[in-house]
Amino acid sequence: MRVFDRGRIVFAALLLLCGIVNLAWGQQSMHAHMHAAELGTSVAVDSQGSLWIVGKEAAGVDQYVTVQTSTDMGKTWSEPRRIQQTPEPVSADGENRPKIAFGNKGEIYITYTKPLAKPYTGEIRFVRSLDGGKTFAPPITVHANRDVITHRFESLIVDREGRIYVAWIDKRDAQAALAHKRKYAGAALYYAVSVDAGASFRGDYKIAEHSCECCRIALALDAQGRPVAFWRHVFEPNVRDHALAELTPDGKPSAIRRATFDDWRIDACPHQGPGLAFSADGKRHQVWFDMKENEGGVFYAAADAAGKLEKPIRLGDAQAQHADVAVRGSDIVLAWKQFDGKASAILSRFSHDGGRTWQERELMRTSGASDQPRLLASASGIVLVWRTGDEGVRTIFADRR
Amino acid sequence: MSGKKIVTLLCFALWWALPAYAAQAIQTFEPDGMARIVASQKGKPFVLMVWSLDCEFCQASLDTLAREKRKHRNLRIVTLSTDSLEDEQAAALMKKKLSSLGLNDHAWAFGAASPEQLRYAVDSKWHGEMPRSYWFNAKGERTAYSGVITPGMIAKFFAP
Repeated sequence: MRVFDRGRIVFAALLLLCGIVNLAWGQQSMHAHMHAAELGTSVAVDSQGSLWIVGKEAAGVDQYVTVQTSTDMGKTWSEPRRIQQTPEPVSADGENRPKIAFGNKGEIYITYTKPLAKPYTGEIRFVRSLDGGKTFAPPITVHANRDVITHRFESLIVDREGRIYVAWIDKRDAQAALAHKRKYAGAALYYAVSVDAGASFRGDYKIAEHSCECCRIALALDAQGRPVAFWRHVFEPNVRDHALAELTPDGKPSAIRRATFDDWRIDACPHQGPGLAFSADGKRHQVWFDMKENEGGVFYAAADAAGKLEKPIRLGDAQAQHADVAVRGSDIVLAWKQFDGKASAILSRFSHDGGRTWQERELMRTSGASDQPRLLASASGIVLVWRTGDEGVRTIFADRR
Repeated sequence: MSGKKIVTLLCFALWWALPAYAAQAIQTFEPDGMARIVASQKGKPFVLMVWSLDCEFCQASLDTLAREKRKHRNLRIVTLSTDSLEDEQAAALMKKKLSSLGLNDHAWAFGAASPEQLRYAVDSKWHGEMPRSYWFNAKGERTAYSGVITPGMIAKFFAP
């Protein structure tokens, strides 16, 4: 009996030892977690020509959206500043990242997706500053629907009249179908509009049913200044090509039109959303990722003012991903990310003649983790902004040699 | 039995049990991960299922694989999550998910190297879409597949 007790004590001691070893491992991984930042970042330029970026900061378990500014086109940046008083979860993993835009009177608007505890669920949050970024109002939720479902992958744009449009991927229709045991392809696209500088939003207006579930939405103003959404859609029966629609302030978007024709039939999450820009001549410039004839790739095509699409051009090699496009006058820049086995590079094509002739070059590279490339048309040129894990945020003029 | 003998026996039992515990833990996938996964299967046909916590379609594939494995215990299924094991919260969620499905004994997840590097290590032709699976035959040849796995695909692949 005594021996048995002694054995039990030794066994307990061994278990304790195992526990200590486990705890040490746990702490090590916690330490690593604090260094593994989500790099999803967006950029915008204000009326004074300053660059603003929004990203995510994790301080232990607390998460914040932070803003940084640069008055010298990205050579130097201000320290990151939190825009919320109270931390809350923030998505910043590439396809899902905070966004920033400006109103006509210098208002600063920021949106982000706040993931909820249940997988794939979230809320679209909106924060504004009316004093040039000195103070930020507490976040509000953009959508009226408060079900614990997918409201994620938001996108933000302000039109010339200063109206704010926020579009997002929404699963209320998919949930309703599920409740009636009906099949439902993909998710849906909704949007809301603010006509009072973000004091309130009107919505939730449906853009389309059967969007892809996991890709960013591109928003751009067309030549007339109307916001246009461009997204990966699920066409019958399971074709993940792209669609577009014009949004209106009164919640009556145009009918959707198919905008890519690669016929990628798949039940999967591509995790690769498109990019969109318009030139003053009415041309639409689009970049997207698809599988075409069993080979994946990033493509660029322009469509004329009537919507007729030119033959798509394949960009880069089989590793090309996450393209962006920006237009300024007759300058067009396309940029994409490409991994060569050792490092990720941002490659670009630029044209000074509206797309008649192109030049290709590498803009930057990093051997570590990195965000997707973001292109920005500023008054002084088209800029690439890229956040990398090793180097931080870097910028370069992408429209010149 | 003397106390010393009991301690020795207990130590032996722990020594024996620890590798079993380690085998159940999710293993870290670094740039040499594919070679290590292939070696761990010792030339037997297996399916490698690449998934992530954020991939809704992956859940259907994992459910199907788990169901088929319950029916045919000799199915060799290896899972690889692209979520980082360095992220403690993600690691806990992955573990929970795989344990609930009974798929935790050949489980891997991305490690410290950049996701770009690790995706390339899986397959230089892969673009990150998920679910992605690789079907390894006894000769070590693999066939890549993007999309949801069906019971029919599993039956066909593992048919004698």
